[in-house]
Amino acid sequence: MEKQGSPVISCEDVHKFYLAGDRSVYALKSINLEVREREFVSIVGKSGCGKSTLLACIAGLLPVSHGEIRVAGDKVTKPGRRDFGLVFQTSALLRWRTTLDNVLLPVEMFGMSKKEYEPRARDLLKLVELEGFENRYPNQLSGGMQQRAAIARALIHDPKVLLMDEPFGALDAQTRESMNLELMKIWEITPKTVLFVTHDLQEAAFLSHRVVVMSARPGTIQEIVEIPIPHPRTREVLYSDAFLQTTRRLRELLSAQADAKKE
Amino acid sequence: MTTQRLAPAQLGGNDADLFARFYAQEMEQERVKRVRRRVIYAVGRALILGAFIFAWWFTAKFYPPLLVASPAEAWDGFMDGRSEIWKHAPTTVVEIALGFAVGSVLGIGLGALIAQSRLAEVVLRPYIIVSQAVPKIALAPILIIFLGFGVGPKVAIAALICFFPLLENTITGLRRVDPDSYKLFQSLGASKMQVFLKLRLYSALPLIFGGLRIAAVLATLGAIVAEFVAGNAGLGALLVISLGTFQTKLMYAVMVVLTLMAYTVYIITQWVEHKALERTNMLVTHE
Ligand SMILES: Nc1ncnc2c1ncn2[C@@H]1O[C@H](COP(=O)(O)OP(=O)(O)OP(=O)(O)O)[C@@H](O)[C@H]1O
Ligand SMILES: [Mg+2]
Repeated sequence: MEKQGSPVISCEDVHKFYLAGDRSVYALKSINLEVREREFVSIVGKSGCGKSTLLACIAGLLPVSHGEIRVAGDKVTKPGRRDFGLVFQTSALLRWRTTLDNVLLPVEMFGMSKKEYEPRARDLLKLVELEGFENRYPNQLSGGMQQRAAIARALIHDPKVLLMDEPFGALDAQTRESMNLELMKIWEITPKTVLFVTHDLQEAAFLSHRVVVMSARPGTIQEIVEIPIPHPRTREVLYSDAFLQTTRRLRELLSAQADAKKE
Repeated sequence: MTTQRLAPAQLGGNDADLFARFYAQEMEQERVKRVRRRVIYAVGRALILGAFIFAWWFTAKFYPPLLVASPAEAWDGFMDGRSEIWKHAPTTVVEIALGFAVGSVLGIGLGALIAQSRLAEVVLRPYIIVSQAVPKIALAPILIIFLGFGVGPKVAIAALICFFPLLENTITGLRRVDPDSYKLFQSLGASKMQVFLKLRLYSALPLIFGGLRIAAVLATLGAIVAEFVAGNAGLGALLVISLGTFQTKLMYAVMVVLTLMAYTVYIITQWVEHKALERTNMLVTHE
């Protein structure tokens, strides 16, 4: 395993309540998590267990109800860090902008030169296999293509930290696999700290150093599973014993949740 | 008319050839369908217009011409009163245009202000409601004192009547943005102004244009009604004059002209809407 630096993201006893009228939802309970520099961490857990909420809190989009989140040592109080790149559960592309202009949105927001970044935007679109769709509008793209465009957008300003919420959820198995390999490549070329939400256990095991397994209601970290496979990870990893054992372990952890619920 | 649709496999030939032929066939079928649909639409419209004119003509038979003019008489009224109508029409057109313009600026401007600022909302909302609750026609005499006898008071009434739906639509449109897009902007550290200019305004376009269409019709209505009560020029005034002098034919002719005018204003607004939405890719077609 390669060396990892100091903690980039750290959650200390984070709790989150949603106040919805007279009812409140206990979405996150006592979350303790540290993600180190250049570390790839995935979060898995059933729908509604608070994965998106946790990401939003880390991004500063939601205030936590208790506890503290620090990013690179600074306490998170508001969104807008330029060293963050976010991919949301929906593509959040702007319908009135072409794919290229959507990818360049962060550049525009930061008041940087769009012209200067245009070649990079085109390269990224090529990387996510959207070459030739630069001038199309989002509604002319398929769901998976939209999601890939959103990934290009998250990468345009070369962020140090990537927060990705089910970025490949809408993709078929083959495209997903090639996207995973691309993501690994990007991750190996440029040092990034990644927090990655997924429902796909194989994907989680393939990409990550560690996989956070969450359980629901209230959302807590059930276990953090280390993936004992060295990077760089290639397709061969998928057939290794270590990989199969890990995915099996993850599956067991999640089905144990379901069984516990039944009793 | 019924060209049997062939499956690609039945067409034969090499791939490119097959595709071209299949596609040509599809295109032709689409074209035929489109033409047929247009014909149905046109027939439907013509039928309703015909039925309306018939009903008008039929009703008119039972009343003396002094009270109700028939379609033919209205046409006569139009031919006889042409010069009169043309003399009055520009005034009304100017009032509609200015009233619509002022109302639009008010509606969109205040709407933006209220959507952006809670303070503006709390402070302004009651007075905006009051401006709608007040009987605007009764305002006419007061407005004449301030704005004179010219187009001023009519423009004011037209604007006052038409800005409200536009304001409501603007507020709703600006507030209703896709939550993840909003989060994206926040995550990029966007200022309130950036969110407004690059996100809210675009998202609101369909609703703003919907509001503009309603405003266009209401501005027309407002201008005419204002002329009704406080006019010595304009088609609304001509309507009152013709009514008072028992020129029933002319009155009917003016009514038809006014209707066509309001309709035209709507169509123009709709056309602008179509162009603007097309340009920003905000047009949602159902076909
Ligand atoms: N704005 C909100 N107001 C109230 N409750 C909310 C809100 N957003 C989320 N919740 C609740 O918080 C819990 C966690 O939601 P969250 O979106 O984080 O789940 P998730 O793990 O991302 O699920 P999924 O896998 O389906 O995306 C859910 O029970 C949900 O009902
Ligand atoms: Mg989620």
